[in-house]
Amino acid sequence: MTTKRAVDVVPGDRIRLASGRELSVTRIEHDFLGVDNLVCFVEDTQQCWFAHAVFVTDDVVTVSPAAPLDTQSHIR
Amino acid sequence: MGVYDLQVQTLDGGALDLAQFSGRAALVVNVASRCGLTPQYEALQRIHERFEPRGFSVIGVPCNQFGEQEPGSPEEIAAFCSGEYAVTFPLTAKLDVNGPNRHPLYQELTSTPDADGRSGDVQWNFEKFLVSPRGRVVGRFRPATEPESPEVLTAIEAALPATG
Repeated sequence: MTTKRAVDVVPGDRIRLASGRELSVTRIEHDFLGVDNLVCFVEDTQQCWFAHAVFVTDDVVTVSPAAPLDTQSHIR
Repeated sequence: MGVYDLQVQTLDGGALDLAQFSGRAALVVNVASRCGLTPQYEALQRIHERFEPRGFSVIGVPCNQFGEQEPGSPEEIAAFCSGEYAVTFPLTAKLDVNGPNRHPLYQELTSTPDADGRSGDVQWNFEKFLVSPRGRVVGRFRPATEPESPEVLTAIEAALPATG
């Protein structure tokens, strides 16, 4: 488990929220809701849809880093 | 299939047949109690009171898919809405508005594009869908659009049932 800046999170990362809930990032929306520096991490899979918005300067707990690009084909 | 052909659960677990809104315009809004946009409840209640006599209702849809900002029980949500914002418009049970368990109501709503031509997923809490008296979705406003903004008020006026 590591901590990184939100701006450094990439699709494929699995992050842990303060509540303990974990989110597998499949998509990142930048300038979210028209707000500079706000990003939204979205888990959009066949099992789950969940979104979490943070500022790019926030620290994010990463449970597992993104897999190498050639193994990310399961992420849509 | 139109919005008013569908049924949802009310916050207290009863059945809400949306057919009861047939002949009226409605603004369907996914709501949350712990969001930065939660103060929009105040304006939503005002437009509900302002237009209700002319055939209009706001319908609130609690949802916990955005930042876990609606984590409470039905009782907690109801107490928050009445205690903090004196909400009198109907609230449904907590629903999924996106993803594999998206409620049929939101399957219907999210097929409608916004002013930029974008349909699909609800972006965040407090996205607004305007439904005509015949149950057709006639407007979509993203979360940052205030309920009393000119574009929303103009669209509501245009959607109200004809009088006389």
